[in-house]
Parts: sequence; C-alpha cells; structure tokens
Amino acid sequence: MVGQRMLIISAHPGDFLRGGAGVIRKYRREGAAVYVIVLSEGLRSEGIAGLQEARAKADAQAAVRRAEVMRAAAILDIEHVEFCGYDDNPLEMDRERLRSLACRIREIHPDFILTHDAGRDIRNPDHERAARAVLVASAVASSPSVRLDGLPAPAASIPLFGFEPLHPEASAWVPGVLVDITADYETKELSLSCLASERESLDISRQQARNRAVHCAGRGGVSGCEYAEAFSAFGPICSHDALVW
Amino acid sequence: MGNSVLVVSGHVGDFVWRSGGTMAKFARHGYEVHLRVLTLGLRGESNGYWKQDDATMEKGRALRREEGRRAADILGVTSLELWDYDDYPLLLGRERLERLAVAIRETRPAIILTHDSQRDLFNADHTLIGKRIHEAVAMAISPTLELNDLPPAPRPAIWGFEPHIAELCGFQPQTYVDITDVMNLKREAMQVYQQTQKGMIAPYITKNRLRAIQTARPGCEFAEAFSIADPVQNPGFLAP
Repeated sequence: MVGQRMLIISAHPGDFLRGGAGVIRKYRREGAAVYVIVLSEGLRSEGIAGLQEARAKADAQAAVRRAEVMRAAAILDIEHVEFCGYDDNPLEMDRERLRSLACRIREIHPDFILTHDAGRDIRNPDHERAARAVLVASAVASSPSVRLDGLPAPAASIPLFGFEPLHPEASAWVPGVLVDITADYETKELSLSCLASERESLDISRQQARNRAVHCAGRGGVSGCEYAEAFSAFGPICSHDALVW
Repeated sequence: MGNSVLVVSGHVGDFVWRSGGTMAKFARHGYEVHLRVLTLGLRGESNGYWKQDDATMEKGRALRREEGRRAADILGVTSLELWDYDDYPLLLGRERLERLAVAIRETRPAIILTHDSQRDLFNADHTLIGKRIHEAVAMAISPTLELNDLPPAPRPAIWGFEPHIAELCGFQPQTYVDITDVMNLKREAMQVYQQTQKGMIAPYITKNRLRAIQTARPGCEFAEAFSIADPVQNPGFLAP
C-alpha cells in the first residue's frame, strides 16, 4: 500500500472513526498517505447530553471536538486533517461548498475515497447529504473539461466506499467489501475513546466489528479474523489490472 | 413512551382516505391525535370544486379549511393546524422542515403517520413529504439543536400512508389496522368532502375492504394498511 493515497470525507467527527479507523490505521502502517476532511463538528447530530449546558458556547464546543479529533488522528498516525466547520443537521452543501470540495479532491488526488454510502439513511440524513456531495464533487473533479483553478483532473474516476452506518438495517447500505482489522482493533478503540460522544457506544462498535469478522472469516475464508470493518462499494472501480482480491 | 401520534398530511383530504380509521381508533384508545395539514390541495386535489361556475381560490380556500376542520373533529383529532402552503408543487425548504421539527417536539409522538417514502408515481407532493420527513425528525430529536426552547423529542416510529395505486409506487403494506369498529366515523369524515373529492369515497371503501380480506381475521371488515419506514418504539397494541 506504499504510495497509495486515501481520502476520507466525513460528515461528523465520529463517523469516520467508527466506520474506518481500523482500515485507516492499517493503510498508514503499510505506508499509505491519508487525508481526512471533516465537514462539520457534528454539534447537532452526535448527541452529547453534556452539551445542553454549553449550547450558548457553540464555538467553544466546536473547538473541543476538533481537539478530540486531532488526538484521535495522532493515535492513528494521520498526518492531514482538515475541518470545514459547516453547520450540521442539516448539513447544507451548496454550489460553493461543492466546488471547494472538488478542488480539494484534485489537490489531494486520492486513489480512492472513504465516505458515507449514497443510499437512504433514515436515522441520519446528514450522511445522505454528505454522500451526495461527494458523488457530485468527485464527478466534477474527475471531469477533464471542468476548469478548476488550473488544477489537473485525475486520470481516472475515483472509487468510492461507504462507511457502515450505526444502524445499517435502517438504511440502504449493503456491505460490499470487508477488511480484516484484527491487528488494528485496539488502536481503533483508543482513537474512538478520544471523542466524548463515542465513549458510550464503544460496545456497539465492538459488536459490529465482531459481527463483520464472522462474515469475513466464515464466508470470506479469512482465518484468524476477529474484527472487521465493512464498506459499501458504490463508486466506479474502472481501472485495475485484476479483479480485486 | 407517551400516548400521542402525529399525522402529517400533504393535502387536506389525505389523512381521511389513508388514515382516517386509524386516527379514530387511536383517539378511541385514549391517544392524542395531532394533525398537521401542509396544503389545502387547492391546485391539485379539488377537482370537484373547480367544476362549479363560481369557483374562486378564496371561496375554495374557505371551503377546504372547513372540510378539514369538520373531518378532523369527527375523527377525534386533539389538535389541528392547517398550514396552507401551495400544493402542486409543494416545496419544503429549511424553514418548513424546522416547522415540522417544532411540531414533532410539541407533540412528542410515538408514531408519525405520513406519506410513504417511495416515489408516488402520481403525486410529487406525497413523494416529497415521504422522502424528507426523517430530516425533520433528525432536527426534532437532537438534544443540542435549538428550536423555540423546546426540549428534544424522543425518536418516533414513522409509518407510511398507502398511495393511490400501491403496486405502481412500490408500496408494500407492513402493518394493517382493523378499522371495522370505527368505520362509521371514517365514512362520516369522508362524506364531508362531497363537493371537492367525492370520487375518492367509494374507491377507498373498496380498498379498506380489500385490506381487511388480506388480514384474514374473522370479523375484520375494513382495514387500513401502512408501510413502516422506521419501526422504533412501536407502541405495541396495534401490532398483530
């Protein structure tokens, strides 16, 4: 995975850690370059009871969440993290923000993108909004005839993979790719614990990771797999010189 | 969990055809039944009225408001608001979604009854509401989103109305409600719409008979069917 460039686009801070901290750590250990874009600090989505007192101090809370993300990123050895600071619930990705995202995609020129699945997520509409934005921005960035500040378009369309949501059955997400993260699971939990909002649901994350490991190990034939992360594969995988295995 | 349901009806007739019996049943069982009607259906669903020579928007508006109020009264509705937005097409921007979120916080429903979440081939307004109600829910339940100083609502279940032609809209009945014992109230409410939507009455009685047959329950003569967009916190007593 040396030389591979991974871009993560996450609607809220918890999403990319819950959905992909294991894969991120795995790719980092094996030499990939990892970039994370966090669209919002999730102040109105990642329900934190304690924030009720601090409702008047949204800026301060945003700073707290960013610091939490940076601590998590340090544990996962992610070098590039950026925050757009958009409001969430509802997350509004207008033309300007889409353009900005398209430019970043060209600047970063990732080999693939981890983000939210494009299907309906009845429990968290921000995920759908983020996914739609990534689909549009990625298509715009990939189109050679679109002029974007002199940035060159990528040679190929960029594959997109969707995080498993917290309540997968209440969404249209289906697992397309499962990745064994057994060696990185402990690190994942350490990174998740950096977020106050995630500490309460570590149990759920653990169960989900074990559940996916059963799929990975049993039907996937990956022996020794105790924890796995699953992703939908909804972007085009147009160029590869073999079927991926 | 509280004993309240919230009905979100795209047009002023919808709640009667698609959930009138269920609403009456909830009311009879001591539930608060809150009704929010987004439009009066003046442009798209008042064909009967526009046939009259002296029809005007102003008089049509007054008529449809009166129909909605009378029908809601017959069914035992606790609170009614007629928001009277334009229909055909209905638009749902940020402000209107927030108004829905406020309604959810005010009424704290166990279940929201509204339009099915799949594309209604015949009705873009229904499709819009069905596809976006969960956005209002997300705002309503957030403990950290400010809305008129109202505390966050608990997450409600979401049920979807049967559309006009189920098979063409991908609608699948996922729960049935036996409305036999309140069918007299539903009939009375339907009759209120003689001037504007008379053509809906017979087909929906037929539909309710058909759904009853599907329940295969002895004694069930009329039933309403709903899809379940989100099943959480189903109150249980209406489950089979």
